[in-house]
Amino acid sequence: MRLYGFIYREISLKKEAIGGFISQFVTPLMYFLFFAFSLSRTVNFEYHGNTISYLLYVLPGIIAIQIFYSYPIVSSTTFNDVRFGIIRTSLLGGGSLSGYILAKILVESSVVILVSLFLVFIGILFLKLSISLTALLQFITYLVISTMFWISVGIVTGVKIRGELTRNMIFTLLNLPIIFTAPVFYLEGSAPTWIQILGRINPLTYHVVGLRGILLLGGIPITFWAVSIVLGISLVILSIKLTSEVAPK
Amino acid sequence: MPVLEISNLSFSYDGKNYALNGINLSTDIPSGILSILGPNGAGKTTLVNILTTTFRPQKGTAKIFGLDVVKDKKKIRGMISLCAQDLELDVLLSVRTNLKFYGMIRGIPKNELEKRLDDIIDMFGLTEHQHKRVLELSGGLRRRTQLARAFLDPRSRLIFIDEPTLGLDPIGKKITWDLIREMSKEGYYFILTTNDMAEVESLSDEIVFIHKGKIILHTTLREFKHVYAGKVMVTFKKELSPQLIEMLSNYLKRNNLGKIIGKDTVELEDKSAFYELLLFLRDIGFDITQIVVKEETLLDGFIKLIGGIEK
Repeated sequence: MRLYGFIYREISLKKEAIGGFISQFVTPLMYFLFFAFSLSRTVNFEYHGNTISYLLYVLPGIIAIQIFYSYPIVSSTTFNDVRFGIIRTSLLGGGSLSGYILAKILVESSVVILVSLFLVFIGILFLKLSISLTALLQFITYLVISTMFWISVGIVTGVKIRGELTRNMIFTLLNLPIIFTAPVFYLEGSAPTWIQILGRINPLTYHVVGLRGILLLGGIPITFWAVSIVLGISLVILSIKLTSEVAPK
Repeated sequence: MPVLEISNLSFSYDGKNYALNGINLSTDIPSGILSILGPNGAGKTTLVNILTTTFRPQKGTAKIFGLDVVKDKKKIRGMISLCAQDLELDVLLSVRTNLKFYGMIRGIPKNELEKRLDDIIDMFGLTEHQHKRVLELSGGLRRRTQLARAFLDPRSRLIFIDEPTLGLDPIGKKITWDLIREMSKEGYYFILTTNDMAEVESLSDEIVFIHKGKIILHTTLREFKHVYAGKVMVTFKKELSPQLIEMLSNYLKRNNLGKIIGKDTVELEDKSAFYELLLFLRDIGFDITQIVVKEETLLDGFIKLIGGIEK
Protein backbone atom coordinates (compact mmCIF):
# COMPACT_ATOMS: atom_id res chain seq x y z
CA MET A 1 0.00 0.00 0.00
CA ARG A 2 2.80 2.41 0.88
CA LEU A 3 4.80 1.78 -2.30
CA TYR A 4 1.51 1.99 -4.16
CA GLY A 5 1.00 5.39 -2.50
CA PHE A 6 4.19 6.67 -4.11
CA ILE A 7 3.23 5.09 -7.45
CA TYR A 8 -0.24 6.64 -7.21
CA ARG A 9 1.39 10.03 -6.70
CA GLU A 10 3.78 9.64 -9.64
CA ILE A 11 0.90 8.59 -11.92
CA SER A 12 -1.21 11.51 -10.67
CA LEU A 13 1.66 13.89 -11.45
CA LYS A 14 1.87 12.44 -14.97
CA LYS A 15 -1.88 12.93 -15.40
CA GLU A 16 -1.67 16.52 -14.18
CA ALA A 17 1.23 17.25 -16.52
CA ILE A 18 -0.39 15.52 -19.50
CA GLY A 19 1.39 17.91 -21.88
CA GLY A 20 4.76 16.65 -20.67
CA PHE A 21 3.58 13.05 -21.03
CA ILE A 22 2.48 13.67 -24.63
CA SER A 23 5.75 15.41 -25.42
CA GLN A 24 7.60 12.28 -24.22
CA PHE A 25 5.86 10.51 -27.13
CA VAL A 26 6.12 13.30 -29.64
CA THR A 27 9.75 14.40 -29.11
CA PRO A 28 11.37 11.14 -30.32
CA LEU A 29 8.96 11.11 -33.26
CA MET A 30 10.01 14.67 -34.11
CA TYR A 31 13.67 13.66 -34.02
CA PHE A 32 12.81 10.75 -36.23
CA LEU A 33 10.67 12.62 -38.71
CA PHE A 34 12.59 15.84 -39.08
CA PHE A 35 16.18 15.01 -38.25
CA ALA A 36 16.66 11.39 -39.28
CA PHE A 37 14.41 11.63 -42.35
CA SER A 38 16.25 14.68 -43.63
CA LEU A 39 19.52 12.73 -43.55
CA SER A 40 18.15 9.38 -44.67
CA ARG A 41 18.52 10.07 -48.42
CA THR A 42 22.13 11.21 -48.21
CA VAL A 43 23.66 8.63 -45.93
CA ASN A 44 24.05 4.86 -46.34
CA PHE A 45 25.16 2.67 -43.48
CA GLU A 46 26.98 -0.56 -43.20
CA TYR A 47 26.47 -1.89 -39.73
CA HIS A 48 28.30 -5.07 -38.66
CA GLY A 49 28.60 -6.23 -42.25
CA ASN A 50 24.99 -5.48 -43.21
CA THR A 51 23.75 -2.52 -45.19
CA ILE A 52 20.76 -1.12 -43.36
CA SER A 53 18.61 1.94 -43.80
CA TYR A 54 19.74 5.03 -41.98
CA LEU A 55 16.35 5.36 -40.30
CA LEU A 56 16.61 1.85 -38.86
CA TYR A 57 20.14 2.59 -37.66
CA VAL A 58 19.00 5.78 -35.92
CA LEU A 59 15.87 4.25 -34.31
CA PRO A 60 17.63 2.70 -31.22
CA GLY A 61 19.52 5.96 -30.68
CA ILE A 62 16.28 7.93 -30.65
CA ILE A 63 14.88 5.48 -28.12
CA ALA A 64 18.01 6.11 -26.02
CA ILE A 65 17.47 9.88 -26.31
CA GLN A 66 13.98 9.62 -24.88
CA ILE A 67 15.42 7.58 -21.98
CA PHE A 68 17.96 10.36 -21.45
CA TYR A 69 15.10 12.90 -21.38
CA SER A 70 13.65 11.23 -18.29
CA TYR A 71 16.59 12.83 -16.43
CA PRO A 72 15.41 16.49 -16.60
CA ILE A 73 11.82 15.44 -15.86
CA VAL A 74 12.82 13.54 -12.71
CA SER A 75 15.34 16.21 -11.76
CA SER A 76 12.59 18.83 -11.79
CA THR A 77 10.07 16.76 -9.79
CA THR A 78 12.71 15.76 -7.24
CA PHE A 79 13.78 19.37 -6.86
CA ASN A 80 10.17 20.31 -6.10
CA ASP A 81 9.77 17.38 -3.73
CA VAL A 82 12.71 18.65 -1.70
CA ARG A 83 11.61 22.28 -1.93
CA PHE A 84 8.02 21.62 -0.87
CA GLY A 85 8.96 19.12 1.85
CA ILE A 86 7.21 16.18 0.12
CA ILE A 87 10.09 13.79 0.87
CA ARG A 88 10.10 14.81 4.53
CA THR A 89 6.31 14.54 4.87
CA SER A 90 6.18 11.17 3.11
CA LEU A 91 8.94 9.70 5.22
CA LEU A 92 7.54 11.03 8.48
CA GLY A 93 4.19 9.66 7.36
CA GLY A 94 5.66 6.17 7.21
CA GLY A 95 6.96 5.91 3.63
CA SER A 96 10.51 4.85 2.85
CA LEU A 97 13.19 6.45 0.74
CA SER A 98 13.60 3.32 -1.35
CA GLY A 99 9.82 3.33 -1.95
CA TYR A 100 9.99 6.94 -3.09
CA ILE A 101 12.82 6.20 -5.57
CA LEU A 102 11.40 2.85 -6.68
CA ALA A 103 8.07 4.49 -7.55
CA LYS A 104 9.86 7.05 -9.70
CA ILE A 105 11.80 4.29 -11.48
CA LEU A 106 8.69 2.12 -11.99
CA VAL A 107 6.45 4.88 -13.35
CA GLU A 108 9.10 6.56 -15.49
CA SER A 109 10.32 3.19 -16.82
CA SER A 110 6.74 2.30 -17.74
CA VAL A 111 6.45 5.51 -19.76
CA VAL A 112 9.82 4.84 -21.40
CA ILE A 113 8.81 1.25 -22.24
CA LEU A 114 5.49 2.45 -23.66
CA VAL A 115 7.13 5.08 -25.88
CA SER A 116 9.91 2.67 -26.90
CA LEU A 117 7.49 -0.09 -27.86
CA PHE A 118 5.59 2.48 -29.90
CA LEU A 119 8.83 3.37 -31.74
CA VAL A 120 9.70 -0.31 -32.22
CA PHE A 121 6.22 -0.83 -33.64
CA ILE A 122 6.88 1.99 -36.14
CA GLY A 123 10.20 0.29 -36.99
CA ILE A 124 8.43 -3.02 -37.63
CA LEU A 125 5.69 -1.36 -39.70
CA PHE A 126 7.76 0.99 -41.85
CA LEU A 127 11.45 0.06 -41.59
CA LYS A 128 11.35 -3.73 -41.89
CA LEU A 129 12.64 -4.16 -38.36
CA SER A 130 12.35 -7.76 -37.24
CA ILE A 131 12.79 -8.67 -33.60
CA SER A 132 12.54 -12.01 -31.84
CA LEU A 133 10.69 -12.47 -28.55
CA THR A 134 13.99 -13.07 -26.72
CA ALA A 135 15.43 -9.87 -28.15
CA LEU A 136 12.24 -8.01 -27.18
CA LEU A 137 12.56 -9.19 -23.56
CA GLN A 138 16.24 -8.23 -23.56
CA PHE A 139 15.26 -4.87 -25.02
CA ILE A 140 12.70 -4.19 -22.27
CA THR A 141 15.15 -5.26 -19.55
CA TYR A 142 17.83 -3.03 -21.00
CA LEU A 143 15.36 -0.13 -21.16
CA VAL A 144 14.65 -0.51 -17.44
CA ILE A 145 18.36 -0.65 -16.57
CA SER A 146 19.24 2.40 -18.63
CA THR A 147 16.17 4.32 -17.41
CA MET A 148 17.20 3.49 -13.83
CA PHE A 149 20.51 5.18 -14.56
CA TRP A 150 19.08 8.40 -15.98
CA ILE A 151 16.32 8.64 -13.37
CA SER A 152 18.97 8.35 -10.68
CA VAL A 153 20.96 11.11 -12.38
CA GLY A 154 17.76 13.18 -12.28
CA ILE A 155 17.25 12.47 -8.56
CA VAL A 156 20.89 13.27 -7.74
CA THR A 157 20.82 16.60 -9.60
CA GLY A 158 17.36 17.45 -8.21
CA VAL A 159 18.60 16.91 -4.65
CA LYS A 160 22.07 18.41 -4.93
CA ILE A 161 21.61 21.39 -7.25
CA ARG A 162 19.39 23.71 -5.27
CA GLY A 163 19.17 26.57 -7.73
CA GLU A 164 16.51 26.10 -10.40
CA LEU A 165 18.39 28.32 -12.88
CA THR A 166 21.69 26.46 -12.29
CA ARG A 167 19.92 23.15 -12.82
CA ASN A 168 18.37 24.35 -16.09
CA MET A 169 21.69 25.80 -17.24
CA ILE A 170 23.52 22.53 -16.59
CA PHE A 171 20.91 20.59 -18.54
CA THR A 172 21.07 23.04 -21.45
CA LEU A 173 24.88 22.87 -21.51
CA LEU A 174 25.00 19.08 -21.30
CA ASN A 175 22.06 18.30 -23.57
CA LEU A 176 23.78 18.63 -26.96
CA PRO A 177 27.21 17.21 -25.99
CA ILE A 178 25.56 14.15 -24.43
CA ILE A 179 23.33 13.50 -27.44
CA PHE A 180 25.96 14.23 -30.10
CA THR A 181 28.99 12.53 -28.55
CA ALA A 182 26.91 9.35 -28.39
CA PRO A 183 26.68 7.65 -31.80
CA VAL A 184 22.97 8.28 -32.27
CA PHE A 185 23.07 9.88 -35.72
CA TYR A 186 26.43 8.73 -37.06
CA LEU A 187 28.21 5.42 -37.43
CA GLU A 188 30.00 4.17 -34.32
CA GLY A 189 33.74 4.93 -34.71
CA SER A 190 33.30 7.38 -37.59
CA ALA A 191 33.38 10.60 -35.53
CA PRO A 192 36.57 12.68 -35.01
CA THR A 193 38.87 11.32 -32.30
CA TRP A 194 38.03 14.00 -29.72
CA ILE A 195 34.32 13.28 -30.10
CA GLN A 196 35.03 9.55 -29.73
CA ILE A 197 37.03 10.19 -26.53
CA LEU A 198 34.16 12.22 -25.10
CA GLY A 199 31.77 9.55 -26.30
CA ARG A 200 33.58 6.91 -24.28
CA ILE A 201 32.91 8.76 -21.01
CA ASN A 202 29.32 9.46 -22.01
CA PRO A 203 26.91 6.91 -20.45
CA LEU A 204 24.43 7.51 -23.27
CA THR A 205 26.95 5.98 -25.71
CA TYR A 206 26.64 2.63 -23.93
CA HIS A 207 22.85 2.84 -23.87
CA VAL A 208 22.73 3.67 -27.60
CA VAL A 209 25.17 0.89 -28.52
CA GLY A 210 23.41 -1.56 -26.20
CA LEU A 211 19.93 -0.90 -27.53
CA ARG A 212 21.19 -0.96 -31.12
CA GLY A 213 22.93 -4.28 -30.54
CA ILE A 214 19.77 -5.83 -29.09
CA LEU A 215 17.39 -4.42 -31.71
CA LEU A 216 19.51 -4.87 -34.82
CA LEU A 217 21.83 -7.77 -33.94
CA GLY A 218 19.61 -9.68 -31.52
CA GLY A 219 21.84 -9.27 -28.46
CA ILE A 220 24.87 -7.72 -26.79
CA PRO A 221 27.92 -9.26 -25.07
CA ILE A 222 27.55 -10.23 -21.40
CA THR A 223 30.25 -7.71 -20.38
CA PHE A 224 28.08 -4.95 -21.82
CA TRP A 225 25.17 -6.13 -19.67
CA ALA A 226 27.42 -6.26 -16.63
CA VAL A 227 28.73 -2.72 -17.13
CA SER A 228 25.22 -1.35 -17.72
CA ILE A 229 23.79 -3.11 -14.67
CA VAL A 230 26.66 -1.96 -12.43
CA LEU A 231 26.28 1.62 -13.72
CA GLY A 232 22.51 1.58 -13.17
CA ILE A 233 22.62 0.08 -9.69
CA SER A 234 25.52 2.31 -8.58
CA LEU A 235 23.57 5.40 -9.54
CA VAL A 236 20.45 4.16 -7.74
CA ILE A 237 22.53 3.59 -4.59
CA LEU A 238 24.09 7.04 -4.95
CA SER A 239 20.66 8.62 -5.38
CA ILE A 240 19.37 6.89 -2.21
CA LYS A 241 22.48 8.03 -0.32
CA LEU A 242 22.16 11.65 -1.43
CA THR A 243 18.39 11.81 -0.94
CA SER A 244 18.85 10.51 2.61
CA GLU A 245 20.74 13.76 3.33
CA VAL A 246 17.52 15.75 2.87
CA ALA A 247 15.35 13.14 4.57
CA PRO A 248 14.44 13.03 8.27
CA LYS A 249 17.36 11.51 10.18
CA MET B 1 4.05 6.72 31.50
CA PRO B 2 4.28 10.41 30.53
CA VAL B 3 3.08 11.40 27.06
CA LEU B 4 6.24 13.45 26.67
CA GLU B 5 9.49 12.91 28.51
CA ILE B 6 12.55 14.95 27.62
CA SER B 7 15.81 14.60 29.44
CA ASN B 8 18.88 16.82 29.07
CA LEU B 9 18.15 17.32 25.38
CA SER B 10 20.62 19.39 23.33
CA PHE B 11 20.98 20.21 19.66
CA SER B 12 23.34 22.45 17.74
CA TYR B 13 23.32 23.21 14.02
CA ASP B 14 26.93 24.36 13.90
CA GLY B 15 28.53 22.61 16.87
CA LYS B 16 29.07 25.93 18.68
CA ASN B 17 25.73 27.58 19.35
CA TYR B 18 23.02 25.46 20.91
CA ALA B 19 19.50 25.73 19.49
CA LEU B 20 18.44 23.52 22.40
CA ASN B 21 20.57 23.39 25.51
CA GLY B 22 19.87 20.72 28.12
CA ILE B 23 16.09 20.71 28.00
CA ASN B 24 14.11 18.72 30.56
CA LEU B 25 10.36 18.22 30.46
CA SER B 26 7.95 15.56 31.60
CA THR B 27 4.21 15.82 31.15
CA ASP B 28 1.07 13.76 30.72
CA ILE B 29 -0.55 16.69 28.93
CA PRO B 30 -3.65 16.21 31.13
CA SER B 31 -5.78 18.67 29.18
CA GLY B 32 -4.68 17.16 25.87
CA ILE B 33 -3.20 20.40 24.56
CA LEU B 34 0.31 21.71 25.22
CA SER B 35 1.45 25.00 23.74
CA ILE B 36 5.11 25.76 23.18
CA LEU B 37 5.77 29.48 23.20
CA GLY B 38 8.89 31.52 22.69
CA PRO B 39 10.34 34.31 20.60
CA ASN B 40 11.65 33.65 17.08
CA GLY B 41 14.82 31.56 17.15
CA ALA B 42 14.10 30.31 20.67
CA GLY B 43 14.34 26.65 19.65
CA LYS B 44 10.64 25.75 19.32
CA THR B 45 10.87 24.35 15.79
CA THR B 46 14.10 22.48 16.57
CA LEU B 47 12.36 20.84 19.52
CA VAL B 48 9.39 19.87 17.35
CA ASN B 49 11.76 18.53 14.68
CA ILE B 50 13.39 16.27 17.26
CA LEU B 51 10.08 15.12 18.72
CA THR B 52 8.70 14.34 15.26
CA THR B 53 11.89 12.35 14.46
CA THR B 54 13.00 14.76 11.74
CA PHE B 55 16.24 15.55 13.59
CA ARG B 56 18.28 13.24 15.73
CA PRO B 57 19.15 14.66 19.18
CA GLN B 58 22.87 15.15 19.74
CA LYS B 59 22.69 14.85 23.53
CA GLY B 60 20.01 13.62 25.88
CA THR B 61 16.83 11.70 25.18
CA ALA B 62 13.25 12.36 24.20
CA LYS B 63 10.39 9.90 24.57
CA ILE B 64 6.84 9.99 23.30
CA PHE B 65 4.39 7.58 24.95
CA GLY B 66 7.51 5.95 26.43
CA LEU B 67 9.09 5.38 23.01
CA ASP B 68 12.51 6.77 22.24
CA VAL B 69 12.62 9.19 19.30
CA VAL B 70 15.82 7.59 17.99
CA LYS B 71 15.40 3.88 18.74
CA ASP B 72 11.66 3.68 18.11
CA LYS B 73 11.28 6.31 15.41
CA LYS B 74 9.27 4.05 13.09
CA LYS B 75 6.71 3.28 15.79
CA ILE B 76 6.55 6.95 16.77
CA ARG B 77 6.00 8.02 13.16
CA GLY B 78 2.95 5.78 13.06
CA MET B 79 1.51 7.46 16.17
CA ILE B 80 2.07 11.12 15.36
CA SER B 81 1.14 13.64 12.68
CA LEU B 82 2.76 16.92 11.84
CA CYS B 83 1.34 20.06 10.32
CA ALA B 84 4.37 22.20 9.61
CA GLN B 85 4.39 25.92 8.92
CA ASP B 86 5.83 25.37 5.43
CA LEU B 87 3.45 24.30 2.68
CA GLU B 88 4.60 20.66 2.32
CA LEU B 89 1.91 19.88 -0.25
CA ASP B 90 2.19 18.81 -3.87
CA VAL B 91 1.07 22.02 -5.52
CA LEU B 92 0.41 20.35 -8.88
CA LEU B 93 -1.96 17.80 -7.38
CA SER B 94 -5.52 18.32 -6.19
CA VAL B 95 -6.51 18.60 -2.54
CA ARG B 96 -8.05 15.12 -2.60
CA THR B 97 -5.08 13.52 -4.37
CA ASN B 98 -2.69 15.07 -1.85
CA LEU B 99 -4.73 13.68 1.03
CA LYS B 100 -5.20 10.30 -0.63
CA PHE B 101 -1.47 9.96 -1.28
CA TYR B 102 -0.76 10.74 2.36
CA GLY B 103 -3.42 8.28 3.51
CA MET B 104 -1.81 5.54 1.43
CA ILE B 105 1.64 6.37 2.80
CA ARG B 106 0.19 6.21 6.31
CA GLY B 107 -1.09 2.74 5.52
CA ILE B 108 -4.78 3.53 6.04
CA PRO B 109 -6.64 0.49 4.62
CA LYS B 110 -8.15 1.11 1.18
CA ASN B 111 -11.73 0.39 2.30
CA GLU B 112 -11.46 2.98 5.10
CA LEU B 113 -9.52 5.60 3.18
CA GLU B 114 -12.21 6.89 0.80
CA LYS B 115 -14.73 7.27 3.63
CA ARG B 116 -12.16 8.98 5.82
CA LEU B 117 -11.25 11.33 2.96
CA ASP B 118 -14.90 12.32 2.49
CA ASP B 119 -15.29 12.98 6.21
CA ILE B 120 -12.12 14.99 6.67
CA ILE B 121 -12.66 17.04 3.49
CA ASP B 122 -16.16 17.88 4.69
CA MET B 123 -14.94 18.63 8.21
CA PHE B 124 -12.49 21.26 6.94
CA GLY B 125 -14.96 22.81 4.51
CA LEU B 126 -12.97 21.68 1.48
CA THR B 127 -15.68 19.76 -0.37
CA GLU B 128 -16.11 22.28 -3.17
CA HIS B 129 -12.34 22.69 -3.51
CA GLN B 130 -11.31 19.04 -3.30
CA HIS B 131 -10.63 18.62 -7.02
CA LYS B 132 -8.75 21.91 -7.39
CA ARG B 133 -4.99 21.85 -7.60
CA VAL B 134 -3.28 23.22 -4.48
CA LEU B 135 -1.64 25.79 -6.75
CA GLU B 136 -5.08 27.31 -7.41
CA LEU B 137 -6.04 27.64 -3.73
CA SER B 138 -5.81 30.69 -1.49
CA GLY B 139 -3.36 30.66 1.42
CA GLY B 140 -6.16 29.92 3.89
CA LEU B 141 -7.47 26.95 1.90
CA ARG B 142 -3.96 25.56 1.56
CA ARG B 143 -3.59 25.77 5.33
CA ARG B 144 -6.90 23.96 5.78
CA THR B 145 -5.64 21.22 3.45
CA GLN B 146 -2.49 20.86 5.51
CA LEU B 147 -4.52 20.65 8.70
CA ALA B 148 -6.88 18.12 7.11
CA ARG B 149 -3.88 15.96 6.30
CA ALA B 150 -2.63 16.12 9.88
CA PHE B 151 -6.04 14.93 11.09
CA LEU B 152 -6.47 12.26 8.40
CA ASP B 153 -5.06 9.22 10.14
CA PRO B 154 -7.17 8.37 13.20
CA ARG B 155 -4.25 6.36 14.57
CA SER B 156 -2.21 9.53 15.08
CA ARG B 157 -2.65 10.03 18.81
CA LEU B 158 -0.34 13.03 19.04
CA ILE B 159 -0.58 15.85 16.54
CA PHE B 160 2.07 18.55 16.24
CA ILE B 161 0.89 21.79 14.70
CA ASP B 162 3.20 24.68 13.98
CA GLU B 163 1.18 27.92 14.11
CA PRO B 164 -2.21 26.17 13.76
CA THR B 165 -4.26 28.99 12.38
CA LEU B 166 -1.63 30.99 10.53
CA GLY B 167 -3.29 32.61 7.52
CA LEU B 168 -6.77 31.30 8.32
CA ASP B 169 -9.88 33.45 8.21
CA PRO B 170 -12.12 33.59 11.33
CA ILE B 171 -14.24 30.67 10.08
CA GLY B 172 -11.15 28.54 9.42
CA LYS B 173 -9.83 29.47 12.88
CA LYS B 174 -13.09 28.48 14.55
CA ILE B 175 -13.25 25.14 12.71
CA THR B 176 -9.67 24.35 13.71
CA TRP B 177 -9.99 25.42 17.32
CA ASP B 178 -13.28 23.55 17.79
CA LEU B 179 -11.80 20.43 16.24
CA ILE B 180 -8.68 20.56 18.41
CA ARG B 181 -10.80 21.04 21.54
CA GLU B 182 -13.19 18.26 20.56
CA MET B 183 -10.45 15.78 19.68
CA SER B 184 -8.47 16.57 22.82
CA LYS B 185 -11.54 15.46 24.79
CA GLU B 186 -11.60 12.21 22.82
CA GLY B 187 -8.09 11.26 23.93
CA TYR B 188 -5.97 12.85 21.22
CA TYR B 189 -3.00 14.97 22.25
CA PHE B 190 -1.83 18.18 20.62
CA ILE B 191 1.45 20.02 20.79
CA LEU B 192 1.12 23.47 19.31
CA THR B 193 3.89 25.94 18.65
CA THR B 194 2.36 29.35 18.42
CA ASN B 195 2.81 33.00 19.13
CA ASP B 196 -0.87 33.80 18.71
CA MET B 197 -1.94 34.70 22.23
CA ALA B 198 -5.64 34.50 21.41
CA GLU B 199 -5.03 30.94 20.26
CA VAL B 200 -3.13 30.06 23.42
CA GLU B 201 -5.89 31.55 25.55
CA SER B 202 -8.58 29.74 23.60
CA LEU B 203 -6.96 26.32 23.50
CA SER B 204 -4.23 25.72 25.99
CA ASP B 205 -4.24 24.75 29.56
CA GLU B 206 -0.57 23.82 29.70
CA ILE B 207 2.21 26.03 28.36
CA VAL B 208 5.95 25.77 27.94
CA PHE B 209 8.13 28.83 27.33
CA ILE B 210 11.38 28.35 25.49
CA HIS B 211 14.01 31.04 25.31
CA LYS B 212 17.52 30.76 23.87
CA GLY B 213 17.34 26.99 23.75
CA LYS B 214 16.15 26.49 27.33
CA ILE B 215 12.77 25.89 28.90
CA ILE B 216 12.29 28.83 31.20
CA LEU B 217 8.76 28.07 32.30
CA HIS B 218 6.41 25.08 32.30
CA THR B 219 3.12 25.90 33.87
CA THR B 220 -0.63 26.10 33.46
CA LEU B 221 -2.26 28.99 31.67
CA ARG B 222 -4.11 29.97 34.85
CA GLU B 223 -0.91 30.07 36.88
CA PHE B 224 0.90 32.02 34.18
CA LYS B 225 -1.85 34.60 34.00
CA HIS B 226 -1.88 34.89 37.76
CA VAL B 227 1.86 35.49 38.00
CA TYR B 228 2.60 37.36 34.78
CA ALA B 229 -0.61 38.65 33.30
CA GLY B 230 -3.20 38.91 36.04
CA LYS B 231 -2.65 42.49 37.08
CA VAL B 232 -5.17 45.25 36.45
CA MET B 233 -3.94 48.79 35.88
CA VAL B 234 -6.30 51.59 36.89
CA THR B 235 -5.38 55.05 35.66
CA PHE B 236 -7.12 58.17 36.95
CA LYS B 237 -7.85 60.81 34.35
CA LYS B 238 -6.68 63.55 36.73
CA GLU B 239 -3.80 63.47 39.21
CA LEU B 240 -4.93 62.40 42.70
CA SER B 241 -4.69 64.78 45.65
CA PRO B 242 -2.05 63.92 48.33
CA GLN B 243 -4.86 63.11 50.81
CA LEU B 244 -6.57 60.73 48.43
CA ILE B 245 -3.24 59.05 47.58
CA GLU B 246 -2.58 58.45 51.27
CA MET B 247 -6.09 57.15 51.89
CA LEU B 248 -5.97 54.86 48.86
CA SER B 249 -2.47 53.65 49.63
CA ASN B 250 -3.45 52.65 53.18
CA TYR B 251 -6.56 50.89 51.91
CA LEU B 252 -4.66 48.90 49.25
CA LYS B 253 -1.89 47.96 51.71
CA ARG B 254 -4.31 46.92 54.46
CA ASN B 255 -6.24 44.61 52.11
CA ASN B 256 -3.28 43.36 50.03
CA LEU B 257 -4.94 44.57 46.84
CA GLY B 258 -2.03 46.32 45.10
CA LYS B 259 -0.04 49.54 45.11
CA ILE B 260 -0.02 53.11 43.80
CA ILE B 261 2.38 53.96 41.01
CA GLY B 262 3.08 57.67 40.59
CA LYS B 263 0.26 60.14 41.14
CA ASP B 264 -2.43 58.71 38.88
CA THR B 265 -2.09 54.93 38.59
CA VAL B 266 -2.99 51.96 40.73
CA GLU B 267 -1.65 48.49 40.05
CA LEU B 268 -4.04 45.84 41.31
CA GLU B 269 -3.25 42.17 41.87
CA ASP B 270 -6.27 40.80 39.99
CA LYS B 271 -9.81 41.43 38.84
CA SER B 272 -11.37 40.85 42.27
CA ALA B 273 -9.13 43.59 43.68
CA PHE B 274 -10.55 45.87 41.04
CA TYR B 275 -14.11 45.24 42.19
CA GLU B 276 -13.08 46.00 45.78
CA LEU B 277 -11.44 49.22 44.63
CA LEU B 278 -14.61 50.23 42.86
CA LEU B 279 -16.62 49.75 46.04
CA PHE B 280 -14.10 51.79 48.02
CA LEU B 281 -14.16 54.64 45.49
CA ARG B 282 -17.96 54.68 45.52
CA ASP B 283 -18.02 54.78 49.32
CA ILE B 284 -15.75 57.83 49.45
CA GLY B 285 -17.85 59.54 46.74
CA PHE B 286 -15.27 59.40 43.93
CA ASP B 287 -16.59 59.70 40.38
CA ILE B 288 -15.76 56.30 38.92
CA THR B 289 -16.27 57.51 35.36
CA GLN B 290 -12.93 59.28 35.81
CA ILE B 291 -10.88 56.09 35.64
CA VAL B 292 -9.43 54.03 32.78
CA VAL B 293 -8.96 50.30 33.35
CA LYS B 294 -6.51 48.05 31.51
CA GLU B 295 -6.16 44.39 32.19
CA GLU B 296 -2.79 42.76 31.45
CA THR B 297 -2.98 40.43 28.51
CA LEU B 298 -1.08 37.23 27.85
CA LEU B 299 1.09 39.21 25.47
CA ASP B 300 1.96 41.63 28.30
CA GLY B 301 2.83 38.62 30.44
CA PHE B 302 4.91 37.12 27.67
CA ILE B 303 6.84 40.37 27.17
CA LYS B 304 7.23 40.76 30.92
CA LEU B 305 8.63 37.22 31.22
CA ILE B 306 11.11 37.65 28.36
CA GLY B 307 12.02 41.17 29.54
CA GLY B 308 12.73 39.85 33.04
CA ILE B 309 15.05 37.20 31.69
CA GLU B 310 16.88 39.64 29.41
CA LYS B 311 17.56 41.92 32.44
